[in-house]
Amino acid sequence: MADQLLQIRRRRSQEDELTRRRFLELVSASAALASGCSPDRPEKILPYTENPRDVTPGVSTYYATSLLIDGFATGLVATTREGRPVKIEGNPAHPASLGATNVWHQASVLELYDPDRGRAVSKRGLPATWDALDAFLARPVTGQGEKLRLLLEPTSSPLVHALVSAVKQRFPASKVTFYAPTPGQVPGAAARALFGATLAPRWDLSHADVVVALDADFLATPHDLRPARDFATRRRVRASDGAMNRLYVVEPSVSVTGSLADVRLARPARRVQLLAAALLAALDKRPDASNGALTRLAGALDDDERRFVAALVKDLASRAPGATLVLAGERQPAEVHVLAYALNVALGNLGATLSFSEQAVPETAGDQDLPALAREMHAGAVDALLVLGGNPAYDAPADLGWTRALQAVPVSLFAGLYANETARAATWYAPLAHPFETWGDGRAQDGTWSLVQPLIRSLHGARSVTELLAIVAGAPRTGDYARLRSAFGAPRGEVRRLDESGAERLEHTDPAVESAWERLLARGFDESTAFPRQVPEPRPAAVTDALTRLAARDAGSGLELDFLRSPTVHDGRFANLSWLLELPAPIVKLCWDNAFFMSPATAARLGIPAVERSEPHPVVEVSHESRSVRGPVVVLDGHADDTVSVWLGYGRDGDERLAKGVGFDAYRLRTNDAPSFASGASVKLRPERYPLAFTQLEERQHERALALTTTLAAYRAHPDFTAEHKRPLPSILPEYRFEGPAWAMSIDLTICSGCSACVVACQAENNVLVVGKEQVRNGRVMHWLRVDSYRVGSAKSARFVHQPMMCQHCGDAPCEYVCPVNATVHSPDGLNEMVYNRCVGTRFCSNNCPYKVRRFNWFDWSVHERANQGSVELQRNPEVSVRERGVMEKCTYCVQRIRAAEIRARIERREIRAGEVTSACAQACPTQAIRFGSLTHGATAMVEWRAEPRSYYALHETGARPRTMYLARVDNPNPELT
Amino acid sequence: MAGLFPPWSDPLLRGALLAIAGGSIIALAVLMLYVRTPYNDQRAYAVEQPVQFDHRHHVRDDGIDCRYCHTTVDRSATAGIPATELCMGCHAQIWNQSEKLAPVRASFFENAPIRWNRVHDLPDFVYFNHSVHVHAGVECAQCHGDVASMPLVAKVQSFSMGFCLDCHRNPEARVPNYHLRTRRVTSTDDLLARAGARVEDNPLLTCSACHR
Repeated sequence: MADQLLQIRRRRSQEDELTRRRFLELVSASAALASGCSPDRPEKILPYTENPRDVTPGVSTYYATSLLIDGFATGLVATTREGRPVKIEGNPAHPASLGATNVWHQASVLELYDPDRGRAVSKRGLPATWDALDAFLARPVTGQGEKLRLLLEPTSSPLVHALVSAVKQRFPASKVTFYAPTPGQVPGAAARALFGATLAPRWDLSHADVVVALDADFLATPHDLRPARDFATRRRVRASDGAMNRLYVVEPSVSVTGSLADVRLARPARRVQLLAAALLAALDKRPDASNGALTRLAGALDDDERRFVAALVKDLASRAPGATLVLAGERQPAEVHVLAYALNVALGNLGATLSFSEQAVPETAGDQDLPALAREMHAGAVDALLVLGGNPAYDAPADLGWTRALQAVPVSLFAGLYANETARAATWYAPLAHPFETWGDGRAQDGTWSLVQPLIRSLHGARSVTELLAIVAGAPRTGDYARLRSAFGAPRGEVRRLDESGAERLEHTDPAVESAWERLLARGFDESTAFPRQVPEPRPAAVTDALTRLAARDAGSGLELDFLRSPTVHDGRFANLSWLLELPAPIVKLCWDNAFFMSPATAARLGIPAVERSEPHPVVEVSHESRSVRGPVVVLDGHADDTVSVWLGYGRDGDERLAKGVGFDAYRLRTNDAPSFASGASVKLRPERYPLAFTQLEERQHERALALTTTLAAYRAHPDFTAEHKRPLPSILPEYRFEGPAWAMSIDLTICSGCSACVVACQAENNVLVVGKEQVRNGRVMHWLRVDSYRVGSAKSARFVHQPMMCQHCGDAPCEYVCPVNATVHSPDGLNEMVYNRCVGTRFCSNNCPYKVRRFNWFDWSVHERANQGSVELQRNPEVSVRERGVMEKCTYCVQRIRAAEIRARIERREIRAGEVTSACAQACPTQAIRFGSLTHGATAMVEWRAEPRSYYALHETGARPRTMYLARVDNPNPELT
Repeated sequence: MAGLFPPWSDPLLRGALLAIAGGSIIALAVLMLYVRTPYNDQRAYAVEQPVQFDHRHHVRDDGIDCRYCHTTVDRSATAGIPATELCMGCHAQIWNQSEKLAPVRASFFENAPIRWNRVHDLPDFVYFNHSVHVHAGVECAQCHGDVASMPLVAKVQSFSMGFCLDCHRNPEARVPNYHLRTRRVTSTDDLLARAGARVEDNPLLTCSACHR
């Protein structure tokens, strides 16, 4: 035996060794290959055995579906190729999308293919079967369910709520809890106090001339893109004598909304209530409005705040009733919302820019909140806990002792997309199906019933929340489609029957219902289901109550700690998606990490040394109520003093491989009584340093004509201030003969909020691969489109102008002259083309590009970086090459879409229509700041914008004659505050 | 002192030098000739297939149109290889016991695709679209040859970039009346107005037409 082993080993080593004979063999074989003596093995073609319906190989199919974020549905259109979803766009007809998407919608298709998703049922960490789980779910507890508890994520889905009711019917004594770590909507308690009903506000930003955002990041609402669109329509100055709205923002950190503010006041979140009270004191003229509490709150303002309030009050009072809007953010307590509503009432906005409707995600659906559930668990009052979605072991308030509480529960189940922290603590784990794998439904913010339609068969045989709930409820195992279909058919007079096997069978007696259903599926939602708008009668006593409560409450002092939803990974649920981890966060431009953010003054006071962004950053230990967390500090201009803000959602420790070890977990500082911001934190500088990956190292433009800014007054006085930046320049180069359509882009910096949806949309469309934190630090990030954010105004009340920057498709492109191999050339329709197969990687072109938009493949990223491997490869756009090592790449103006439209037009024997082609970035943009099209299509916004006085070419003096034109950012500051 | 090398080494050296110089020229010439032969682009071989499908019989004898099987040629980038169910549409009825069709029946009943060998294999960085060419009046045979007389399909054109550009630069040479048929005629007047007039709708010559 040993001899044999030895022989084998010897043979192996002989094989490994490169003998002369072996060398000659290899040389002759490669020579034979090189000379083509033997033809390559032919590639295989595998046709279908049976053609699937609706699938034409090589042609995309589009399905209307929805995605629920924070429980609210946003209508989407998914592109599938040969049965696999490859791209997500907004549904133009859906009220919460209007054709736009945000970063999470764009990345949802990556989540579907995430190789780290849970694949199999397990029990106590060992593999188990669905049958075993079904047996448990069918009888989780005995009796009336006194010891059965359910924990779900807040949702608007009528289907889920119907099944929860069914569970309650079977187990009347069981209790249901809905929990999400970050608030998804403004607290309904405010409307309940003021109007006597739990209602959700409906803002109409398209009619507001003055918008006051009190810690409200309404331009970045994760599930509703309407506020951003409405705001932009009122914001955009159409001509030099045009009007625009004015935005006042009070906030602790720098949000997307704050970066666009005309007047920005950086203040800790706890001071927002004082400002709201001071505004109310000045604006509410009813005799019973003023009382001791109000004057006490309003009197606590400092000088800057007083100046701000005085100017704002004057501005608000000068406007017509109903032409303003005061918004408070969902992070603020209900009392502040009462004050904000009262301000709107006083300003005459109720019924004009503010109305109300039923809550789409009903706050009152649960029986108890999470702390009550945790108390029961600690007390041993829970025998079986079913956690369907979410991740409470990671994101529950730290003082609830969730993990210990779970140990006191004999049997628990966690069902989720990933085997995360909660899965590890639970008895059972069941993989949940992705929303693109199941049938389902939801409601948009305004109540519109939207369908969730599967795009692909479940990749891992996972199930939906509703299927699991149905087993617990003892409902027939009909599947989600049948449930949804009968929910649609039943009110229309269709009947459901049980067949002999006990399974539910639908009898569609009415063809009209069936065709209505088909129409609904094609459209994706039913607009007639939107909740009616209400204008309720306010009860003034509620305002006094709120003021009294606020005045009695200790507002807190010392250092404030602000817990913010991450602009990239949300509350941690998207933490394993490489696109989002590598997405430079809006304004901060930090990726692959979170950090503690503070103002320069606070950092100096705490003795934190200033560092460049490229250097390793100082690390601090932040403590709050006996808990402490370490993390790097990033000093941010425009951040409020005496405040430390931090993104939640990082520092994950589940089975998600990419998320593991990225950033730190700020949930460990968060307690139940102060979930959004807390006072009394302390910061201690640590000796160590930590490197961070930023994609933009400089926040100022240094007098270069990149992103031009002006004020409305200055624009009116000098409409031609950009003339210098678009005048004809002399050129020694021969004129290029353009023909056919002339592709071009116009980008309005006034309405670009820097949300970065375009960046992820471009990544999804163009197979842009991620490179990892180390390579981002080396400056090798591959994004074809980046959003540069430059500071406007003083460091203290900093605002930012955002400039989406991608290849400008120059007419006299500097990259083209220097390429030694003609790898970058011009097309007659004005595109600057990149021919990967010609590129030899000299990088001269990148060196000569004034906009620095060319990206070099330092490695074969699809091999070099783990995040690009595995099932995520299924997402790749088949119309775009995946670039190899050693070639340059850059924005192509989505040439694959242009050529596809051209082919369509040629087949139909017509010219390309105006608006037929749009780029991925323009399609995703929530504010429609990016417009794409042909210069030959005169009647489009893209062309009309270019004729506006404030249009200009970036870095015009280089003479590159770009095709992309920018429109200067116009701000509308209050003259009294400048 | 005797010479360092014997006298006969002189012609030997000359001969060797000549052989090296001549040999490299010949080697170069051979390679340059080789790339011009059908061997270089696999035109010389008919590719074996898992099923002995004979186009001669189906196309010439039975008169079946190309598009009966290659259904997506006029609406998709790919012409489409027929699904097994299409074969079985006829062969469930005729020749349904044939030994030669055993792999087709196996594919159909086991729901396992037939693994055909690709004959016309463009590089993956080429985005060719069949539909636009078919609609522009390019006949199948112009690229694929007389498939109706091929027992096993073989490439007849090089399918090199030069082959594509030859036609794109001068479509009239390959597609008769190309410039008269690329625009939809909407009325008789339109037709008369266009009689003899060239419509400037040239095929794309720009790189991104095929490479993205």
